[in-house]
Amino acid sequence: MIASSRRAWFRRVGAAVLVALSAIGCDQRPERSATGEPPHRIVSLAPSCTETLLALGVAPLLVGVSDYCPELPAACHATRVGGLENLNVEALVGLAPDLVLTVQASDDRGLAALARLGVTVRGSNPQSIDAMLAEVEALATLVGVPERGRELTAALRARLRALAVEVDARPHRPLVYVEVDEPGCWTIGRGSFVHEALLLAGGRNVFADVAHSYFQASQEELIGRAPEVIVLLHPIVRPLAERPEIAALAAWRDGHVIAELDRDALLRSSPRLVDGIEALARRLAAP
Amino acid sequence: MIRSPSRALALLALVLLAAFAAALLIGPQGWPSESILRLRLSRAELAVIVGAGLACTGTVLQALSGNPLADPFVIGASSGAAVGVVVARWCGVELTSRWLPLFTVVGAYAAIVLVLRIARAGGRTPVQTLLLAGVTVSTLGTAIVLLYYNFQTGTGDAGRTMLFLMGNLSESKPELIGLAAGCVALGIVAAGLSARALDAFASGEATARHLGVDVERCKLGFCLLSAALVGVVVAVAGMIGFVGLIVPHAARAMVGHSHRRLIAASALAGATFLLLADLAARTVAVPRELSVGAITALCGGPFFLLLLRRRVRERDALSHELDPRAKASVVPPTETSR
Repeated sequence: MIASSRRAWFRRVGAAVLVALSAIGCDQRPERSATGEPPHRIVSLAPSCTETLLALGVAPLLVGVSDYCPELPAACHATRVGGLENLNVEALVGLAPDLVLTVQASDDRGLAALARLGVTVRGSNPQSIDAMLAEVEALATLVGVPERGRELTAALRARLRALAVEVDARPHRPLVYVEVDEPGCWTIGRGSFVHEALLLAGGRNVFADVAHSYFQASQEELIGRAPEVIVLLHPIVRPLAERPEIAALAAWRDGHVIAELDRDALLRSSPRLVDGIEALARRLAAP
Repeated sequence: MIRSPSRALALLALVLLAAFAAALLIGPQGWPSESILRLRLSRAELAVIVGAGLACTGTVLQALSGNPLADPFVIGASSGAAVGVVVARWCGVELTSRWLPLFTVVGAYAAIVLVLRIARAGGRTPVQTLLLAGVTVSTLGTAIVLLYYNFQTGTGDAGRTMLFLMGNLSESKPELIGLAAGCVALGIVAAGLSARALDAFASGEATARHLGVDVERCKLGFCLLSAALVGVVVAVAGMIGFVGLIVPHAARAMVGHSHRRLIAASALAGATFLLLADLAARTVAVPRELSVGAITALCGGPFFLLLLRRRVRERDALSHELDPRAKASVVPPTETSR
């Protein structure tokens, strides 16, 4: 009897796993709706996706955005639907979107629930400049403005090429410490697109040997590696003079601290990243 | 157990000195330059203050509740202090403000009083009810912190507060460190001076009353003392768990149950333990830095489970002895049939 109830239990668990797997499989469906029309009711759950749609000039297609997304032009009437961690699924479904854009992996639990409800979800998290440009073109094609997408990426590539020429002519590429959060020295490894952005702007990442995107660096290592420039991509809450690991750096004593950059531009993998790179390049030229 | 408790105390003091020296001399950068030394010194100071404070609080709470599993983290005091941090942020108080301890102390006090009041039965605090009440209050606190996280979307502030609460020893504002050092030193002295009352409490509230201790006043005093220590520690270092649990037990094994020595031994051993935990956090994963709270919890979690198992077994053995049905089964059948 115990054996049979155990078998029944296994069968039930097996069935549950199958249901779960099929739910995860649901979001593999094609992104274009059944009629072949481009989507016209889009919800963006990631600031970078919203930035991309803004840059493509199709922000009016947005019916919902996350709490973290930038302000939209006055003509748009998009509802705020929470963030990736506290998504208001009902509000989102109530907007009847035909496409949801996000940076999450497609097998995320919250997204699987959306997929089960028949909402098309597109999750992509471009962690390099090339991937970001490819994503811009793919999104442009998806929303029916492929030409605009190609023009935009061509313009961005041209700006990056011009910048590369200018940066290559510089005699020195400074060693840079980029801080994305505190307390603790939260910084970028070479897995992050911010690392690539820093390279394109003419700097070298002081923690380029770490493969991960973001991590908490050792305070002593930071001092030992002696960066020449400090770039802060978070609001300064604790005065730098009170942080021994920063106060010990020659970069701080010499005033080579860059703290006034547009954080959103540099921390979002969207067309505005190129603005951020150019601004950083200008500051690195004269720290 | 070492034969002479005072020799054990001297040994603990020596070990603390050695750990402090190790914390200053060992690190990813090897032999320290002046700036590295300054960095290590500020962390080592904070580790000593926080470790001694947490261990002392653990000792006081264990005596107060007559329960060896009490710890600021387990009974929800740290969680209450975390709610204090969130309320302070909500009122616009910065994480580096000198007013932050005010909020954390009030939060910790509310949590301690709540848990002890819920869990107390017949002058003692049974293990099960203390843990249940602690878990409940902890969960409540976590819920409030999470709600704050949910409502603070889009500002980046919530993430910073969460990082802060995760526990770290990077606070370096001299006035905050000085404040914490003063509070912890005063707290340890106060606990040491009331060692006799703690001894009495450790053998039960009724016993304490028979021994002529003003139970209610002492309880209020010890709750305030614990809250002040936990609150100040959370305000400078976030939530670091299990120091207050492991250390008093180790100290008891070395100097015995007299609280006069136990408080001193706990403070010394707590400072040593956190110094070593921070040394590990700084050095094992270079160029990364690990969360010191994770290291203390990795050591403390299994220890806690071990204590809990032993405690439950003791209770089972005791209830087996006292249970009339269990007794009936050992009585010969002829006697029961009569």
